[in-house]
Amino acid sequence: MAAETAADPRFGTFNLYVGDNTTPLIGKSLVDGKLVFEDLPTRISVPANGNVVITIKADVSSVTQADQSNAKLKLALYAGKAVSHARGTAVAIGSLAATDTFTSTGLTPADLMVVRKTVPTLTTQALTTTKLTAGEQTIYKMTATADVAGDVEISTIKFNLTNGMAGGKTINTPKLFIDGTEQTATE
Amino acid sequence: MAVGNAPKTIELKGTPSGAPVTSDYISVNVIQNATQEGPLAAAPGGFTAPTLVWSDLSGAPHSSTSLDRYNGYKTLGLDTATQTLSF
Repeated sequence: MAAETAADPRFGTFNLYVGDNTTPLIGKSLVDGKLVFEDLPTRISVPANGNVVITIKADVSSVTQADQSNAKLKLALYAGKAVSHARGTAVAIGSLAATDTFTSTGLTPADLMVVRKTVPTLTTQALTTTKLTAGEQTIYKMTATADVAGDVEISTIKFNLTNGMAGGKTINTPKLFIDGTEQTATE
Repeated sequence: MAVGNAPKTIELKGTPSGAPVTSDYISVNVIQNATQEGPLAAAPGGFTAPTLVWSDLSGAPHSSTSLDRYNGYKTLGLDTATQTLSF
């Protein structure tokens, strides 16, 4: 491993959570492409024949330039230290030795994460009526919201329609409305 | 369509080509793209059957040719809930 230099400025703190805890066990910075969570304030105890979910959350710095969007991040476990012991036997802090080291052989890296300046969120809204009748009616309704990091632009929406009408009937003249105004242009 | 912190309401309206009868129904939703595409320019920019095309406006400047558009892969809210209308 190369000598550690300054923390990567593209990220804030990476927090490690254990189980359903909403308070991080420990937070560290990314240095030389590596996160080292050591000297945990509380050991992570894994029950016999059981498991513990460990979550790492990244605080990504704001995107300020075009080339910062679409940057990719993937975390993979590199190595760790663990020791087994009989039930009811406490493991003293600091008792892990170098010989307890394990590596990540066989573990799958995390999903690839891609940095965006901001993102949209789509949320379905209830229809006034779900009764299918003759004449024009609203057949789908949702909202789009941008993350607080910045506005987004939506230029294409493809609706997936399942037609269960008998006799070859279809939906004629579909129209798209944004905040009540019919859209006639494609963008 | 520009979207800010205030939600934009998107409605799809349509007209059945004939009077609905018993057991007639339609179901609508927006599905997630199975793979990631982007950043690309506005269509025709190479997207393959996108269910959604959106931009984070990171192009400098953002324009129809700026490479700052993405498809509907892993977009929050996709797949949207299916809404069904029946007779």
